[in-house]
Amino acid sequence: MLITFLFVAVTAKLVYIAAVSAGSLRVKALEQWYRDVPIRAERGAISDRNGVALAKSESAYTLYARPVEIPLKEQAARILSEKLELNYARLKEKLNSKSSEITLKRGVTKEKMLEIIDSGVPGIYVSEDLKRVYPYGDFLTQVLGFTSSDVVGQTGLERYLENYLKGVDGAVLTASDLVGRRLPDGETYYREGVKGADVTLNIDANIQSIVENAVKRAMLNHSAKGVGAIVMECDTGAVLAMAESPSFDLNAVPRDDVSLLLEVSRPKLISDVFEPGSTFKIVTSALAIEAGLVNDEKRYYCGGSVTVDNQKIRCWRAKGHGSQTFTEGVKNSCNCVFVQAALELGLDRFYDGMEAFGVTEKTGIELPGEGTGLTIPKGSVKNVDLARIGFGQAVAMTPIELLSASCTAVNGGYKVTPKLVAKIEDESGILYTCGSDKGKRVISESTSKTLRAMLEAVVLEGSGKNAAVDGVRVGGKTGTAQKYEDGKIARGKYVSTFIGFAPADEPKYIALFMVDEPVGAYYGGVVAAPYVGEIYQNMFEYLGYMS
Amino acid sequence: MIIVPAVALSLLGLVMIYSASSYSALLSYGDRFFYVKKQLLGLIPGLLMMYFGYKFPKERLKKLSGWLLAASVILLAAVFIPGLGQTSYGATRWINLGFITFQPSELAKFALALFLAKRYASKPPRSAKDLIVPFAAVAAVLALIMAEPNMSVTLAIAASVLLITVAAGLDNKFIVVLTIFALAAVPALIIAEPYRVRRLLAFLDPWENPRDEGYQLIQSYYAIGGGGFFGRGLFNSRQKYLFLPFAESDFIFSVVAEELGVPGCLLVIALFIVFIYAGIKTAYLQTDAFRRLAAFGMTAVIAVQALMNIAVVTGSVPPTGLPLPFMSAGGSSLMVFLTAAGVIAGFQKREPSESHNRFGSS
Repeated sequence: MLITFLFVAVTAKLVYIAAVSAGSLRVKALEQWYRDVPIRAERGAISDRNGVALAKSESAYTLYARPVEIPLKEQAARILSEKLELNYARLKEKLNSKSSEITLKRGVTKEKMLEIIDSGVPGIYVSEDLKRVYPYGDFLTQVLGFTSSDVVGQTGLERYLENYLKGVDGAVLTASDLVGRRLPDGETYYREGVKGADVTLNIDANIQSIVENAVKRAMLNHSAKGVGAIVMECDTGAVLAMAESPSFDLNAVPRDDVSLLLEVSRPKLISDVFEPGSTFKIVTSALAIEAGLVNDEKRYYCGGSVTVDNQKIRCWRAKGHGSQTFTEGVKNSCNCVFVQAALELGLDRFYDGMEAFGVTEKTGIELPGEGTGLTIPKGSVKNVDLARIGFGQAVAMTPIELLSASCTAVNGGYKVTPKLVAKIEDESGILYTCGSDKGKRVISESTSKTLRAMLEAVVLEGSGKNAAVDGVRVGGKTGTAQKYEDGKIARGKYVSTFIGFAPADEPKYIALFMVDEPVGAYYGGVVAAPYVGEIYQNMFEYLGYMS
Repeated sequence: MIIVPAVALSLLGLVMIYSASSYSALLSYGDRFFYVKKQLLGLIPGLLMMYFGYKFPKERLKKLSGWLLAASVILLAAVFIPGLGQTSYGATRWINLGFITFQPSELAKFALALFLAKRYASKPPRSAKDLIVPFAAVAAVLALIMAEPNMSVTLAIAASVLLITVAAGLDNKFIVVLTIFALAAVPALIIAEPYRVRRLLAFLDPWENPRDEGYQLIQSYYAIGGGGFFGRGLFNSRQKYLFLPFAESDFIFSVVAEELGVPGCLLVIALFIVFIYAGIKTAYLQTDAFRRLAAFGMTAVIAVQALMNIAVVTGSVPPTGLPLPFMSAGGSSLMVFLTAAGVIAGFQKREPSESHNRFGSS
């Protein structure tokens, strides 16, 4: 009785395993029953707004054979030589040789590779060679970024969008024994992967090309340490172009010198902060106008310098600008006017304003390693510091933060987030589209309008004359900042910038151009402004604004 | 009636051994029939021995049982003689006679059953004093087997001994005491050898240590689960490709489950149950105490071992290495089991010379 009962109990357990747990057990066991050789999913392509491919994947396969695993050598040689266009006699000889593994063919397409796998010839092994190709070479380099040799994104968008681009790997599964030997009559099958998502950027390859040219020429003309430029849509924040020099060909990444590579592959326009100088007066002006501190009757006096907290702050023009209106002060880029404006605004309004304009936080652009603006902690700001911040000193930010804040100042007063990516799409559909919602309002429409007129005057009559373009109204602001090294002013080292928008009355585009450490001339109006003019000239021609 | 299931199981075993071992045998020995041939070397003499056991006069068997046990003990001890004993998987259990390896414990368990039958027939276990001599013999055998070490056979023999002793008329209160004693022995053994604790845990959750303690059981689960209710079909085992360790011996039942599914397993279990009931019925019909206890004891040895093997393979008890009687690969083991089956069958026929027994019915 007892024995029968125990047998029944054991049988019950057996049936439970065989019937109830079978499914989950089989799933676990599959892992050991098949040896899988991964087939990498095709990495998604990156293209510009018009579908021009900027980064794409190419994969090829190498086929191997293990002669010992091929019993019918003549038949195998016939099938393989036919499908792979190989010499039959030579292949047969190789298959009859004693070598453990022979290479059949390199650079085989995926379709061909699958055809061979399906042909049923045993003992065939596959390896995949992946390649990332950048059709334009040195183009949008820091933004696109590059991949490692096994095609994993390392910098730029390639890294930022890795999870979208990579897809899901497939595999060739081979029934095998415990140590991975293929079973005598073991089946092999192919598990399809999922292709990585394709990314469409807001970048316009034509505009990018115009900007790349301007950047490269500025680099040469001024023997600069570096040059960078961004063109953005005022309403949406869509980044149309972003170029930096020095740069390199993405198809030939200079991996030998790691520190150099880190330096040239870093998108400094979004990662590195700098003291903007006079271009920051755009923000101070917007705050002063918004606060109602500016009117046409009010006069400001510049005697070449102003003293705050017993410290003498110089205007760039040693003999001074005399008595001016605020508009004239902007046009002349007079430091004394902005010292007064900043002091009138006061610490609270100024710091709140900087925060509202977003120069103290990351913009959120889709790139790894974005930097954040630096300000003196509010509690430690003395009047003299506030006075300097008014004209863009004692404050630091990334070029993209400065451009975004300037965009807010002129686009009617609402915040924008710079956006590189327009759309991400895979076989299942659209995964992401960049919105066109306006950000929150920072200043009023009328403040923005007043400021646009002032900044147009800068290009028409003031320091930004070189940015003027026939037939297009351009507004903008120059900037020339002395560089600091180890906390002291570095003599003769400047960052020259120009921020320009067009058309000036109803801005559609805003551009930043910066030249780092130009040799010779260094005023933003001379070194940076002309390139913005040139970019707009070519851009508007391309866009069909000018006949 | 007892011969049919024994032979059927042996033949089915031969087929399953081929299926389970053809791949590994080809790899290791270059001959896919390697284990099948070895098994045939046990099966054919085994069938002759079965006939011999059937014909062997049981009165002489009774007289010889003491000597048989003595021989078993000597052989068990001989395992430890260097050059004679053979060590595999960390245990010294085999005697290598050159042409065949032999596990003395296989013989010892039946010798012990016969010895106890003879002893209890003349001195039924009525008091503690009556148990001294039998248990001394048991202790000697078990001590030697444990020294090999072979925990599973030790437990199997202990269980069989208990069954025989109970069948011999052991008092109820002794049954309780002995059961408690046996249960108490298990933790004591576990404490003595901590690797058994890990084995015990492995049986509860094999996935905790899937590469070590849990490995065998997981592979057995994969076999049974992979086969599903109806199995993959004969010769289609997936687990025999080196995944399932000892597929042709201790885990032959897993291969049956994988290839023949639940129906195949039920067939095997049914054959064992037929065998066991035939054995018990044979014992029941005996008028002579020795014959009754010997038939019962030998049946019990096989029943316990079959049950334990299947319980291990299905993860119902902690894993121990115990072959499935008649089916698992192992020529000497098969020979002994077939001989035992022959002896049990021999009790079924009346032997004219023994029609008047000396002890009368009990």
